[in-house]
Amino acid sequence: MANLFELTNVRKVYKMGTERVVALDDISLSFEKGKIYCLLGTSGSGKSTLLNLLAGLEKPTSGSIKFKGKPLEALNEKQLTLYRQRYIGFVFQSYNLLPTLTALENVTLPLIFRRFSKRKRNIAAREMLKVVGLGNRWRHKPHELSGGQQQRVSLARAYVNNPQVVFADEPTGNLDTKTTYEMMDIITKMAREREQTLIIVTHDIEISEYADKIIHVRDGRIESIT
Amino acid sequence: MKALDVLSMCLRNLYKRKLRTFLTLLGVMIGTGSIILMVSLGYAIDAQFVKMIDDLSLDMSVINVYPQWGGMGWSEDGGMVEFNQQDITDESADRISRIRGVRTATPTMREYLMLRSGPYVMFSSIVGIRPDALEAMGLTLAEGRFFTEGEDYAAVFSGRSERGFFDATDRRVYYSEREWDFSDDTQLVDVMNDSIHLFYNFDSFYNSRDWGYGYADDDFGMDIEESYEPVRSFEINVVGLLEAPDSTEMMWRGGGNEIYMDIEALQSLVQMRDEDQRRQEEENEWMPRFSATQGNRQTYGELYVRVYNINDATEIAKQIRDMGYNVNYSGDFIENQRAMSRGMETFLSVIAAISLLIAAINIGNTMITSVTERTREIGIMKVIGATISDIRKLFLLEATVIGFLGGVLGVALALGASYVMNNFDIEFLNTLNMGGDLLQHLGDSEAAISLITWDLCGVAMALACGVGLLSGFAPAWFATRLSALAAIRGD
Repeated sequence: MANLFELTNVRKVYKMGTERVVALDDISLSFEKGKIYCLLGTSGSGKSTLLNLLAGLEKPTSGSIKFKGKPLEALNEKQLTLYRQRYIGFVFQSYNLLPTLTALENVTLPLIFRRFSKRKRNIAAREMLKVVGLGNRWRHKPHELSGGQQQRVSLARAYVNNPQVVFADEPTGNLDTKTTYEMMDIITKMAREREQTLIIVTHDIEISEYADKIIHVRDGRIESIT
Repeated sequence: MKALDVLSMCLRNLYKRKLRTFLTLLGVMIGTGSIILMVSLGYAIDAQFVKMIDDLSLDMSVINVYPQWGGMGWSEDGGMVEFNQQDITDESADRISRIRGVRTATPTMREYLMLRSGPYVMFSSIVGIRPDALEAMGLTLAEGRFFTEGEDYAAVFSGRSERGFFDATDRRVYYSEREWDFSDDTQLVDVMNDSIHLFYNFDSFYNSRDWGYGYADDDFGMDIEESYEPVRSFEINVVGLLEAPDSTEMMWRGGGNEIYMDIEALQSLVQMRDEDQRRQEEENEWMPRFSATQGNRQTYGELYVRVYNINDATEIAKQIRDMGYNVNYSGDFIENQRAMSRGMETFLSVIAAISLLIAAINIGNTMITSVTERTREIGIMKVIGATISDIRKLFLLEATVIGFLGGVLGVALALGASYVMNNFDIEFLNTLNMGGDLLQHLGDSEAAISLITWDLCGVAMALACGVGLLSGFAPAWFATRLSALAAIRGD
């Protein structure tokens, strides 16, 4: 099967004042289409940096990241924005919903940026909210929803433009155990149904069990892939 | 993002921060409102000037030139200056008529003479003028015709000059009360048809008066017919009657009662009078020698200048003044008044502009606060797929909308304030004296103090939006520069 991402000798070094911190050190890795990955590591291991590089939010200090054969580091700001619009979905630990918008509007946001008509994007968003089990809460503002419900909205937002890759950065970090399992069930189910690549970043070993492949990250290096 | 989506999101953001938005709006409202108001005061004054010129039928194409008598005087910049004597002669009339843009320059003279028709007498300002200049002076006939060359004792009466006549047989009366009493419309003399005589010697009249010293009528006061007997008189033939000016026009010009005659006839009349005077002085040793001081009669008291184009008049008046004459141009006066009120308007407008500037800074400040506050939202939007231009548009539009709404409120404020100013008597505004003395003299209480046109509202709205847009640039740039990553990371 074709590789979605191809990382070769990727290095990321941050300058913190006069000190240089190596966040990722010479990583070579590939992600296949339609699989669920888990980047597992402790805080400061470099797993989040890796995710940011894949999402085009940061550029590697050296090395190359190819998405469908095209190097991301060669894209300019505008092209990166389009790349995220078309191919990427995001789920954050702290949901990151816009407080002024209703659940429905939050879900339509990625489509607004893609210049979808209001009717089209509302249909898509309503559908997506139904899938995550919030069909009847679409009118609510984020502060009127529970943590789990907010994360579902953010999940719907990530999936609404039918991306090829969904990044989930500690998606259950703020949730209790019961909700965590519910959430993981939904995320993985949706990814599999749509044959999307799901990349979960977590430090929780229990979560990693949902993944097809677990990539252990430690001190900026890949320790092992299981 | 589509334009409509940008607008809807921006309105939502403004609504979310209602209070702050409103306070920012308030600044723009006051700024725009006061600018409109200040300009409207100027508009109203300009409109009043136009109306005034119209009302008074001030002829802005006429420049009155008088001789410069010489001596010390005040110069225009307030210093003392010595003037050279500059008489008005045929030669100077010729010189001035050659100035570019001058249509006519005709000498005129004024003499104070007496007219009598039957028992009625009047003292009047007789204006001597060349027959061919009558029409050029802009005089309009109500009746009859203008006199022509060679008609020595033909005269044209002003519309109200008949009111100068009073009954001379009543010896206690020596002026006409009808002259300023506009309610009295009795007519004593039919000037076009009755026989009218002109006198340069007033002795007969004064001899017949009872001056209130208690002398009995019979002792000193002579009979009217008897007293006029020895005095030389000239019968004049009134050939035309001018249109009567209305009351304001008369008050303003202080005239409307002149009688026009051929300047040469008037000159010879005056010469006769002077000769009479000289003869009397020679015959009577005791008389003071007035005639010796009489000047050369080939000089005139006034030169009447009319220009082709009103717009050149001020410049032409200045040229003539530079030639050393005394010049009276009504445009100068209006220009001065206008300059005075312009100064006031400019001062107030600057204050208004400053308040708008403060409003602009205020918008910028609000927007920067809003960007800082929404750092995270901006980050999320960027991660989810908002382009740099989307973000920029959002913030620019927000600032512009604040400007726009402030502008709308400002227009409303100005309209309201303008209504109050125009419909209630506000002491403070009178003390400002925006219209200058001129308008106060006219006392047109009906006139608008503030005049707001749609154009003015439109320009002010555009200004408010522009100010909003401009003050949005810095915050918008700031927002686009935010790192998406830093924004979402910081919880």
